[in-house]
Amino acid sequence: MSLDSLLERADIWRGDRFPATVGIPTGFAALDEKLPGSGWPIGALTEILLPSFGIGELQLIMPALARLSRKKRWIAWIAPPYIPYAPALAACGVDLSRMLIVRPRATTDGFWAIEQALRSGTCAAVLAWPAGGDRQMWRRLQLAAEAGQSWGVLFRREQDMEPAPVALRLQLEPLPGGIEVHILKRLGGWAAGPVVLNL
Amino acid sequence: MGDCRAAGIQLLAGTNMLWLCLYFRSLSLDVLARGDCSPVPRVVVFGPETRLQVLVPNAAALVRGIHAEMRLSAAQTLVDDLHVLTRDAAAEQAAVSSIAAWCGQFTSTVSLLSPDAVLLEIGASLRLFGGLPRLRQTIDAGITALGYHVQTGIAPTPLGAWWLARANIAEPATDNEQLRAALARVPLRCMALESDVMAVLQGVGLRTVGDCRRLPRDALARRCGVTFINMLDRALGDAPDPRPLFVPPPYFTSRLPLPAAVDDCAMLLFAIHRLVLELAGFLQAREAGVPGFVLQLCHQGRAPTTVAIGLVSASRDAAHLLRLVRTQMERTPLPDTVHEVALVARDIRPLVATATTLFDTAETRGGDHWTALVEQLRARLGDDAVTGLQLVADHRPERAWHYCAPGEDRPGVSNAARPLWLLVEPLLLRQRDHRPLLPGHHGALTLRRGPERIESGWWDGGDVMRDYFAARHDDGIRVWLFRERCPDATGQRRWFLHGIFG
Repeated sequence: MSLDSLLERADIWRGDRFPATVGIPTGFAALDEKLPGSGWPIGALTEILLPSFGIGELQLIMPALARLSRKKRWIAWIAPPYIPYAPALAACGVDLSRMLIVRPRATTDGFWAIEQALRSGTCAAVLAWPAGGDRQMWRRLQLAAEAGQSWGVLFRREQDMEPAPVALRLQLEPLPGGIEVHILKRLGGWAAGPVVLNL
Repeated sequence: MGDCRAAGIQLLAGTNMLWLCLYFRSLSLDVLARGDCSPVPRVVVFGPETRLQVLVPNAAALVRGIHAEMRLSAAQTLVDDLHVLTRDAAAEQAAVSSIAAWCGQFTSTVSLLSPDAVLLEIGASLRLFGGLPRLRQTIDAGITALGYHVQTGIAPTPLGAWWLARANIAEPATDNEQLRAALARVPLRCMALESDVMAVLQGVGLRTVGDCRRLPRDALARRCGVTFINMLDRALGDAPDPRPLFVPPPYFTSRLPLPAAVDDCAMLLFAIHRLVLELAGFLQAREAGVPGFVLQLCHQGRAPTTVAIGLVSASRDAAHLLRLVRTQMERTPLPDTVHEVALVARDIRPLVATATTLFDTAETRGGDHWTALVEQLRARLGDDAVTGLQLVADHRPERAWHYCAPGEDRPGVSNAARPLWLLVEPLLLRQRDHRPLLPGHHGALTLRRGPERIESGWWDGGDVMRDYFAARHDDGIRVWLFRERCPDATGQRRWFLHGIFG
């Protein structure tokens, strides 16, 4: 492996440079501006931290999902906390026939399913609500996302927090009429100031 | 010639034919031992109970001094813990037939030649498979992966190829001149002669096919019979040699006996791997796939454990099928040790040959194998746990969608006023001063939009009469609530949480 190919890896952070990869546009210009590759990172994990599920985290990713669902790859939902509601998804422009809802019964099955989906190369995005998890597990998932060139999104409540080694970590805070997105970690840049999005 | 065709026999004496013969020298051993990779000294025996003879020793037994035709009692004095297997002629026959079906992926002309040899006409396949050396290597490697030891011979005539294979002369003879030169070196014992003919030839001091050809034809015919002369002519290409075409069975079934009972999953998978490769070749030969198959793990003295593997769409990708088997096996408890594995696939469906795309990008990969992930997840988590989403035309929110098979597409009514999350069951909310409270959250709910009146379902007993509201909680969460239109027994109209805008 040459130094050049090492430096091209999504998980290598080079000082103040944004990696050359192009991300998936988030649909929010103010957010794209602050993200390496001007969008959600492909082939890497994105961690979204929330005080509780349902404050606008789905609306945050909906424009990207709608775009990804028009390509011939799955959007996998692994262990979602509620039912992803089809009429609302369709209204956001999401192609429902690309949705793969996975509801494992055991936590270990959940991690296994996330890894399989990320690694398969057939998932454009893997949305996961993991319970627990340790460093080694996050590392495995990161490698799987890289191998499958998938956008892995981990939704975690702040109280479960033991930070996962991810390419992008966001923290969401509800605001009247929208959310405030804090970029806690991004490849190729220091933590950035908050972005306010109207939803 | 016409008569031969009518009789279902293909006339195979064309000038451009090239035959590859697969000769299985240790077939009777391989059939019984290919499911086990351990290097134990092992022999297959045959003959009457009191005079059992070694038919084939394996490599480990050979190095300990055991050879074919040795008495079993003698062999056992050489090796104490010799593993003795009894010959199973029916299994050998089934194995050769199954190998022939597997060979169909390389040529449409496959013929069974003897109980331990298969003939392939490969003249027409050379270009497709990248030339003779590569084709031969592919076939050899494939047969080895199925667990058989093979010697191959290549010649313009079927008998020539067979004799070269038996003599283990690997150098291919691609024209008549090379064939004559190669056959001249073939020992008489490799011609599979009748014992009386063999005795005559040995009696006059002949050792090879070349020796026979140097004798005057008339004299040879007188001593050995016309049959023998005709056979020589066919082997050398001087007479036509029609061969019956092998017709593969309509469905796939293959058994693999395990030489020692197995309870270890890894060892079982080793054996199953061979069966899956056999299935993949069988399917490749007919450009087909299977939507599923059944593995039977046979135990001594109790009903076999059945493992059914189901696929979303038919496939013949051995690696994928094996992954599914592995995941399924991890979930299958074995009540007892296994002494035989069988694979049965009855539903064989035509499958378009895999199109190889010019640009192997992640996107096209997604298109080609998009069901593989579903099958793998279902194998471990169960069918119910892996689904797709579908719209349903119904006004009741809980019935306006449905889980469906992944990838299923059905148009329906989208609704931008609906939340992205729906609760599995509406959650009854406590009230204070007729205002709903969100459990686990302090602070108040503010109604922002509504009411939206939904009255439906009186005809099927699932009737609802509700007023829906979008509301925002003080701590930012946005929810979807409804209030029942009819008061309950206490005269109160109940509030429920039904969705979260997410």
